[in-house]
Amino acid sequence: MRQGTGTWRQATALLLTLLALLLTGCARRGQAATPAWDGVLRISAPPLAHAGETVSVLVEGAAPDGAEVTLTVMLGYGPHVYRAQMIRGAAALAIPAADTREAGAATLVAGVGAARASTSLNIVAGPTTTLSEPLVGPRSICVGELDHSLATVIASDQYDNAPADGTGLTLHLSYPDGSLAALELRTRGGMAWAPLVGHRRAGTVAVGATSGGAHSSDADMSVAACVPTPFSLRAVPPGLPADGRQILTLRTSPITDSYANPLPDGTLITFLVAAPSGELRIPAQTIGGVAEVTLRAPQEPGTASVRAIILGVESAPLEIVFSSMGGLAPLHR
Amino acid sequence: MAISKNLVKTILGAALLLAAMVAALAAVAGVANLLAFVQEGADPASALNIVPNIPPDLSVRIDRLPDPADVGRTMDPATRDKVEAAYLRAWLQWSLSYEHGGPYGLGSYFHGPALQRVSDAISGAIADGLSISQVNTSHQIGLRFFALDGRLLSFRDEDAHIVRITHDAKGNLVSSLELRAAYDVTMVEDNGLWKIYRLTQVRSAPLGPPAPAAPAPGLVARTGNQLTLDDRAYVVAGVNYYPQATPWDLFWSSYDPQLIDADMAQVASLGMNTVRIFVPYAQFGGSQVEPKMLDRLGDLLARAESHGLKVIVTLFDFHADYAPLLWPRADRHLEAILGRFVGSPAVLAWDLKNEPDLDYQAAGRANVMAWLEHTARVVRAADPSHLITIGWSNPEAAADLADQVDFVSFHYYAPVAQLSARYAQLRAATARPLLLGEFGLSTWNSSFFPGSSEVEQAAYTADLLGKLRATDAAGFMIWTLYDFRKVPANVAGRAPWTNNPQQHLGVLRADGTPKPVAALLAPGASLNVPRPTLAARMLKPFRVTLMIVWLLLASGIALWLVPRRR
Repeated sequence: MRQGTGTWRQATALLLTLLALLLTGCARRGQAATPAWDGVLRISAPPLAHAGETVSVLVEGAAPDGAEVTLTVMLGYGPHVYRAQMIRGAAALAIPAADTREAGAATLVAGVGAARASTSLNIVAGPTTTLSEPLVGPRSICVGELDHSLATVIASDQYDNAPADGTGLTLHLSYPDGSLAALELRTRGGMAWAPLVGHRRAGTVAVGATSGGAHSSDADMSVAACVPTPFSLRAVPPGLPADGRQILTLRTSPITDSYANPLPDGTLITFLVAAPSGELRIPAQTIGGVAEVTLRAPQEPGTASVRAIILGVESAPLEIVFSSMGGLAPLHR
Repeated sequence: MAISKNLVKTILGAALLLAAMVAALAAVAGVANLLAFVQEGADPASALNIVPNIPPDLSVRIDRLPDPADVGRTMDPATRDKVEAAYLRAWLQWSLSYEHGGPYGLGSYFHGPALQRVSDAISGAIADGLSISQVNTSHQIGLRFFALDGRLLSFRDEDAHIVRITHDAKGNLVSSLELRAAYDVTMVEDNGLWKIYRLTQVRSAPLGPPAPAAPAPGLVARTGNQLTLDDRAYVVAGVNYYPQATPWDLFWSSYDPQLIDADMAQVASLGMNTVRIFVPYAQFGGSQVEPKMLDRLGDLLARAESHGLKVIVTLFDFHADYAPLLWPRADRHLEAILGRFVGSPAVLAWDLKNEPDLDYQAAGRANVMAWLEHTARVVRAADPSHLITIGWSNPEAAADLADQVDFVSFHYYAPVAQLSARYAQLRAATARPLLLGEFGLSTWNSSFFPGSSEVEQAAYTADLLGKLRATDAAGFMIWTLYDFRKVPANVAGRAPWTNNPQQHLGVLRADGTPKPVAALLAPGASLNVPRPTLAARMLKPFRVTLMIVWLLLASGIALWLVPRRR
């Protein structure tokens, strides 16, 4: 019985302990933290700074000494955060030079407790130190003024920032005939661009740029003859007997543009041969502005009519007679 | 057969031991669940920070400015789409890198100096112990140059809205900023991919609170600390509304126009002038709002208006995910709804979120606050004239963001005696109109849990409205029109002591008959109601149960102590 009473006491103690635990859980929470300081805060910083220089920022307010000040500098690529403590109503902070290398508009936000103040800072890019090799596209254009390419130059300061809009830049052109030209440009968004037209002489145009003390390497642009003038065909020999064995050569006259530039090597030309036995399409390529193909004489006598087409320009037809008695002179028109 | 005292003692002892065991089990395994039940509200399941897996260009707003004449080469639509998508993906990858905790997959979207800069910025922030959430919500692109070879371009992003929420290593909020910025952007084509080569922020300023609602005829406006309608005071006397048989998630999916019409007539017949409804974010289609749902909302507004009622539309119901990367989707949701009802005289106000302060713990206070500020701006941009409010869960929480809304709405389910002091504290924090957006007392009167009778409900309401009339409040909205037979578990939990009270907060019983409280809701209604008698208060079912339990316990203890005295 006594032992039983002890068990009851233990049970009672257990119950009371559990009750105490539950009551502990129901206890009021501790007092809330002291409210954060929420007074008037001022922030001052120079409106303008150069990329890569230290910027001083002053935060003022009636916050207590020792209160932590956070300064968030929101640049284009993300924030930098600096901390200081208020002493006699002010905190002086410095944005280190390494953090002002990114030019552009920055928002500065100072915070003490719940108070916030913001200002803006414009970080100006330095002088142009780097110019990209002019990006020329298309890389090949036609002789004359009907076609054009575009040269684009990307300018940067020493921290890869785009220089201010309106920065001067000169584009230098060296033409195949040895003549030179310079185009004065202004940057916009860190780039300057200009259309390039072909010269009368086919060849390679060198394109370079300078700005202040910076200069780019040269890019090449190819200028080639594109629009052929009328041309003719001739056969060597001019005729053959229809023996099915002998061969003659069909050759164009030099194919050039209106400025006498031969068409680029490898330009496709198609010879069209209409013979009594059927039609032939013979592709070929120009070399030095001239293209040629060979024809074998047919076994049956007759007349073949030959034309050539290059870049939409067609030659005058050439008639070749394959005789049963020997070669006859071709009929030119 | 006579039962010996020892037997009784043994039985009582066994009962006490059993009770102790149950209590121990509850203490070990149940306390956490108990707390969870007590605090359970709207389903927080979607509070997980889920990285979006849809192309960002589907949700981030991007406007195009006309191309200038000297752009270089005309940009074809396919290239333009590709460039814009690449630009948005670059921003997304940048934001994801912050989430990831380091540069992550940036090489596919950045090139040259931009790749170096963005990588350095992210690494630097992480090295400083900063945790940054970033999202870009809208852009406005004006092409400046497109190279003839189609491999280089530049544009100015004239109106980019960028949110950055920065916490330090201890989790303290360092800054929460929504910037309106402009960027000069150079992009290059690299192996078929458009990449940012250089990005310069040329303009940047933090966005402030939204402008006040612009007054418009037929729309409720704010005048000082009061609401007005066409220059006359508009005192809200309203009710939070769900249909009786289809509350919460069944409301819009089972929308019945005739039923809505009858309910609106019922509300008007009780003398009230306003209803508050809830628009569930996911059920309405999220970022791609379903036209069918908009039609239903339009139908409800039209029927409310036909009965002379104004409607407070609570948005983003059951949307508890405040992850910044998901904000653009919410913006599109807003624009779809607001665009449809921008001039509707039936809408009294847009309530941005119901009780967002209850999401602080799961989503982080900074995220919730920043989203609310952002959303208020989006609402104001899409709808300049309707009022904006936020339905805070208590008067203390309602002091937050008071300068971002046209009127402050707070909920109150606490004792009447505390109302005046808590209201005064809120009034001291803001000069905006104050609306009691929810209050009520459940008439669930169980034998096993404390509850209240309909008479007590009426007395509570009369007392509370009496206190409220003594303030400068812009009105009240009782919770809710009907008693419900079932409340979803994701609304009020499964525990009977949380779910059942929620079923019996109505002004009308489940069968549609009015409770005594119904007579108190018209403006100027008499608040003289019968008070519960002492007997009625003492003989409430739960108190009767308690008395029986105490009697049993007292008897047992007495029997236990008697032999010891011998």
